[in-house]
Amino acid sequence: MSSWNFPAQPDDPIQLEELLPLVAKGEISAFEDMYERVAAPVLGIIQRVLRDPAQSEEVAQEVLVELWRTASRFEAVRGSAMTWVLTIAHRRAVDRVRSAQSASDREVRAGRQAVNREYDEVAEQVETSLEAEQVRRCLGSLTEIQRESVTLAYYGGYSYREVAELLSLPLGTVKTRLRDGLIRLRDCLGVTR
Amino acid sequence: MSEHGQIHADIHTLTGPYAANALSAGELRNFERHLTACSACAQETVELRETAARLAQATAIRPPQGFREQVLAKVATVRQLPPAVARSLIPLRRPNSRAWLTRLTLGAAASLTVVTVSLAMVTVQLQGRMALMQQTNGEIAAVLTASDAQMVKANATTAGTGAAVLSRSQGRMAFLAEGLPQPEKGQHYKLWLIHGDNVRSAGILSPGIGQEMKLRLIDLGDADRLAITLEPFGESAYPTTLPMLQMALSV
Repeated sequence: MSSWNFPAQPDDPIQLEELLPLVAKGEISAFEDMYERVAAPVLGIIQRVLRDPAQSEEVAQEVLVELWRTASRFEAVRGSAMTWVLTIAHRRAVDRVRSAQSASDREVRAGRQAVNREYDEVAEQVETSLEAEQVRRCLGSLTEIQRESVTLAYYGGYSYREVAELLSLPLGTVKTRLRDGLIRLRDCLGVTR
Repeated sequence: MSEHGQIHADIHTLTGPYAANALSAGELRNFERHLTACSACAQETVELRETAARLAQATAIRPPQGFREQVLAKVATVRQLPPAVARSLIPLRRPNSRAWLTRLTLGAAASLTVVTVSLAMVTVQLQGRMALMQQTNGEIAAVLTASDAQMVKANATTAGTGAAVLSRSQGRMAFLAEGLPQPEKGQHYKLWLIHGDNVRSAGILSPGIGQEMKLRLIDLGDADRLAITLEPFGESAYPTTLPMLQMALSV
C-alpha cells in the first residue's frame, strides 16, 4: 500500500476545483499537478472497463489530453472536479466498448460469465486503498441484483439493456435496481456534496 | 414526453443508467432533454454521478513508465477550448443544495439566496428581488426544497419565459416569468390553472423589476396545466384571449 492514490491529502491543500481554472489558462504546472491526482483513477477505471492494458493506456492518454483541452468547460455547479474527470474517462471507455462492439458485434452472451467476476475483482482490490475498501464494503451492502446491475453497468461498461439480457431480468427491473443500488451506495459512501 | 418536459415516472428512473453511462445514444438524448425540465432528476443525477466516480476512484492503478511524459508531450501540441459563454440551461442546483437549502430555510436573508440560486438555473434573473421575497421566502423555500420539487419551463409565443418549481406534496408552486412584452395600456397578464376543461384564475402577474414579473406562490389544486393570457383590466373569470404561454405541470 502506498499513499500514491491520495496525493491530494493533508500536505497538499490545493483542490482540484482550484487547479482546473489554472489549467484552463494554459498553465502546464497546474496540469502536471492535476495529472498527479487524476492519472491513476483515470487509467484505473478505463482499464477496468476495457481490460486490455495497451488499449486502456491509449484511451487514458486521450482523456488526459481532453481534460487539458476542455478544462475551461468544467462547471463546479454540476459536481466535483474529480467527478467531471472520471465521468469523461468512464464515458470514453464505454464509447470505445460500444464502437468496438458495433464493429465486431460482440455477443452479449459472452459476457455472462462476467456477472460474478466484476464483484470479485473489486474484492481483490481491497489492499490498494481505503477508498477501495470502502467501496467494496458498500457494494457488499447491496442486494445481489442491485450489485450485479451496478457492477455490470459501471465496471463492465454494459448498457442497462445488455445488463437485463445478461441477468435475464426485465428492463424495468434493471433500470430501477441500478438506480436503487447507486442510491444505496451514495448513502453508504456518504456522498453529500 | 410533452414539449415542455412533462415528467414520466418511468423516465425519472433513468437517473441510474444515466449516471452509469448505460443509456443508448437515443435514450441519452431524450433523458438529457428531460433533465432540462426536471430539477429533481438533475439533482439526483449529480449525486449518482458523484457516487459512480467513487466507484471509479476505487480502481486507481499506477500508470506505467513513460506514460506521464507521453501525455505532457501531447498536451504541448493541443490548443485549449475557450470558455463556454452561453449559460447552461440544465436546471441544476448546487450539488449539496438539498441539505443546504433545508438548513437555510430558517434564515430569512439566507433563504433569499436559496430562491436566487434555484431559479437562476432556468436562466431567470432574480437580482433585485430580495425585498419582495422577504415575506414569502420561507414558503417558497419549502416548495423548492420539497423532496418532490420539479422544475418546468416554457417559452411564450411572443417573447419571454415562464418557469415554475412545483411540489405536489406541498400543493404549491413558485412561478416566475421574465421578458414578456409590455402589455398595452389597460391590459395585464393573468395566470390560469387548468384541469381538463376547468379553468380557474390564479391572479394577475404584476411587473417586478426590469424584465421580470413578480414571483408568485400559487396553490396547485388539481391543475395539470398553466396558461398566461393578456386580459383587459377588470374581473375576467375566464380567459378572453389565446394564451401566449402554456406549460404542462408535471404529475
